[in-house]
Amino acid sequence: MTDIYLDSLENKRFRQDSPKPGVLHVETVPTDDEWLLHSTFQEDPEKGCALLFRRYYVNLCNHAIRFVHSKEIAEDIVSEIFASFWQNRVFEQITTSYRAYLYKSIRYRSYNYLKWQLNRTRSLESEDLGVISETLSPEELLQFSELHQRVEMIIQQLPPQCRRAYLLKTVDGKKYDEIASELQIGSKAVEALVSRALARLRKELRDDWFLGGILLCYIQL
Amino acid sequence: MENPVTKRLLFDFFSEKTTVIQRKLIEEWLSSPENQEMYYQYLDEWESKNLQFFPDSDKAMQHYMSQMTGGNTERSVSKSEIKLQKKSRLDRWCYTLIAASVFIAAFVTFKKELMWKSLKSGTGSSSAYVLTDGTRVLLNANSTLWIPRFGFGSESREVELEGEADFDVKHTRSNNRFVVNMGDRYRIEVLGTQFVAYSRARGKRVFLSRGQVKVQLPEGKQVYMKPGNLFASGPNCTFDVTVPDQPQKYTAWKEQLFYFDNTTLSDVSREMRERFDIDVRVSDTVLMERRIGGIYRAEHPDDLLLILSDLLKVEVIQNQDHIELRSQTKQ
Repeated sequence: MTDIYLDSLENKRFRQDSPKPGVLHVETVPTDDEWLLHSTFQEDPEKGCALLFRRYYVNLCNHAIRFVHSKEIAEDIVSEIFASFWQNRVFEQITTSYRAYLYKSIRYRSYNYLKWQLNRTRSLESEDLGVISETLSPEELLQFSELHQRVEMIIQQLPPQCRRAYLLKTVDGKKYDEIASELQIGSKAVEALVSRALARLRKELRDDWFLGGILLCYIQL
Repeated sequence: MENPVTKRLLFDFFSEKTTVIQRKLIEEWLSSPENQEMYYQYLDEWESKNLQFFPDSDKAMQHYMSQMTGGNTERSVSKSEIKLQKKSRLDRWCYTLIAASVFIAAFVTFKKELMWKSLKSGTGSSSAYVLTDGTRVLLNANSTLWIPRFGFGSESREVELEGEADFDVKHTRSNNRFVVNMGDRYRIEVLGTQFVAYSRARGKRVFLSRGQVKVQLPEGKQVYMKPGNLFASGPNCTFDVTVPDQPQKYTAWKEQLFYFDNTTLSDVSREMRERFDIDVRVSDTVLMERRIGGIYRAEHPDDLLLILSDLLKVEVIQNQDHIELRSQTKQ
């Protein structure tokens, strides 16, 4: 198996040492980190969870924020996934790598949030966090990446002031009057700018077939 | 075999630098599960190289540890450390167990509180609120209104009601709807208007004072209401829209009034339970069917009990957990 992986890799070393906490991996070699994780999970699941959290928390937050554009929400989503990973003993049930499972769950959840934020037709409460077992089709895998690219593009194409207000509001979670004094405009104007940005997102993404529900059947977290 | 899909190509794809033909190539490559694993691995690597923000992972980690029952607070990593930690774990076992159980209990109990803010009225008194969009809400006693913490007002206005409330909805310039979810898939949609919504165990009710509202029913039906109309849900998704002769009946609570019109004592006791959250029991079946009429002001359960005892000549017996109404023994 590793041979197949290594074919396309630039790095052919098989590293035995464990990933260091807090240090970002410049190069990752398949199977070694997961191997360590696997054996840790067998010995002590709690330790395994901790290790997994250390290893992926920052990266997963960074992935989630691409969809949800809010630091707070991104962290919430990632924490929820980890909480369920422990509480529902997901680690005993998954068949893919931990990494694949985590990224897949984060994407589902972020996508759901995005959809909820733009539609508000369904309540978020109704979703419970079970194990995701469905495998994605290649097309869907790519669509997730393209979705966050699209979100990025829409925001980049906003008029500068509008974009600034939107980012301060959603990404940093600032209050309207804080943003108002920062941009030196009225707080009503800030509100209008932010809602214009959201309206644009909604409109553009709604045209997009992706949010139209192709994935909906898979999203039963 | 030479694999055309390299890490570089995938990185390009993540950064939106690939052509449609390259995309097709990746799509084909992804059809094998091993390659899907690779995809996530490269995605993770790509994220490492393109960080956008730096969450406080130590804090989050501590949080996570306390979430796990029997969690410990070490920053565990290497195998040698794991062995050492086993000893110190016992010492912390007790503390972390307590902390964890408190946290889990809090998490289960307050999950809704994370996403929603709640406005509550006390038992026995109503409370007035003005929402951020200018809508005025008068919550009847023993009622809760849930408002989303994120995005209320700017885009959509959606709240959830448990109990009874009077809404005076502000019409916004952008014409966005105001939605009241009443549970069991009943919802009210309005632009700007005034109405009383009632959502308790007994059923759902909407009384419209002015403007126009649309009530969404569980099975997908919609009912448009005109001013003066009363909507009341019945059993099995049936409903009634009527024009009540005495609309005061549905708004009386706003002035701390009880409106009785040939009302049985059992209904009176139920209304007291709803408004004051007290358990009033009528043991005597004949007494239960006695009817009273009139409008009474009662800010406190005792006010009404006094009226009842005068009017119906009943004895009010205060028990430990409930109040009993009994026919007065004949003298």
